[in-house]
Amino acid sequence: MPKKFENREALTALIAETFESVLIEGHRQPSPIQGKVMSAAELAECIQPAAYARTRNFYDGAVSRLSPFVRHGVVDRKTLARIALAGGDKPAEKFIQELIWGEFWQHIAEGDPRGLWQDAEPYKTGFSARDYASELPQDIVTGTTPNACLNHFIRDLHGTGYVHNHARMYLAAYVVHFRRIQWQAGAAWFLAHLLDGDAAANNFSWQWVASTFGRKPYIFNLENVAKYCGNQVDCRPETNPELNASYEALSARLFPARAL
Amino acid sequence: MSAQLFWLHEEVLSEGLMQKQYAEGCRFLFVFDTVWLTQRPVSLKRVQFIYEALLAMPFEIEIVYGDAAEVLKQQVRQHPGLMGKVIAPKDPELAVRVEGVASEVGVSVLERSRWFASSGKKFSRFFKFYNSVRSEALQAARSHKGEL
Repeated sequence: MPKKFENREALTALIAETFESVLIEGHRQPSPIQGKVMSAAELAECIQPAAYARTRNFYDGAVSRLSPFVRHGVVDRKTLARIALAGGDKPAEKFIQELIWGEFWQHIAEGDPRGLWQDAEPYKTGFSARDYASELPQDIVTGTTPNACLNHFIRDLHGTGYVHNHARMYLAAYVVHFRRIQWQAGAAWFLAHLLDGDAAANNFSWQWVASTFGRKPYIFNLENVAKYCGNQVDCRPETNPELNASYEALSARLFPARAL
Repeated sequence: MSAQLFWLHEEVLSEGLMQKQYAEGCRFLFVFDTVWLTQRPVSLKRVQFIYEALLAMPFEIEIVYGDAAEVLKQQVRQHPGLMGKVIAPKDPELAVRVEGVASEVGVSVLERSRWFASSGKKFSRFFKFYNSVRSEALQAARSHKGEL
């Protein structure tokens, strides 16, 4: 295949034509995140361990956004840990813990490869696996759910191939618990779009949210989204009607059998 | 000396790794494997990210779109005595595909490097795993010469 392209659009056009039969439908735009080789200085600029520890859960927090490069082996986690440690052990702890999460998911997948697509444990939601639909509904795949904040995160996924980790959890919880869709459908959707889509981390994280790899289901409400994303994302109650409730009310609505 | 080929796949686009293999006399081949892409479909964004990373590497990399088994067989036909090698993928499903092709074509599968050694113990909850590996992980990172 060619190596010289007049511009980025020419490469996109070649891929769209050559890979037509294997690419997922639609979504023929490239990500603004470009594949490249990164120098040590460039990597170090992306890693701010102390700020990461304080702000990582916020939509605009100091996360490195290096996961697509780790996923494809452009850089390895050990190298990133070494850079983070340059500023001392204590500030680097949370960042390194996050890197080790990636190793943990790999450890789980190697121990039980079937768990990549099969429920590791039963759902702890009061429902059984057969109560969950197997396909994503249209409003989710088109980013037109009744909730503006989730549509924003879906646009991130489809437009850039990168979604903040907290937003991934919101989307996964919405798909599995609010809409009662099998986690496998959501996991495949994420894997197809995320530049850092790694089956072990992605699928077991979906299982964790679903409660098939954890003690209880993960849910969220609008107040939580507003706390972490409110300065960037539309979190008004009137534009997010399904999410505007207390945790008690949501638990009772989403898991009626579990609440008994 | 036989021609040596290093088969790159989507998990190993490492300049440092290529530097090492280049020093050992390897040339590089990346296959956008149609069989794998059919099994694990992706959007154009992912393919473009990989393609761009390949173009950015300071090594000559042959980029091919096709069934990886057929592409590698053709390489063997064109270069009799070819010695091929590939790094074992982490993804268990990609590993099945890569190792299957390697076995069919006669490519050696090399073990991937790890941040820290596994104790062999199986953990199902993160913090037990973390507490078990933390010290070794930190030590390995501090002494890592790696790509920097």
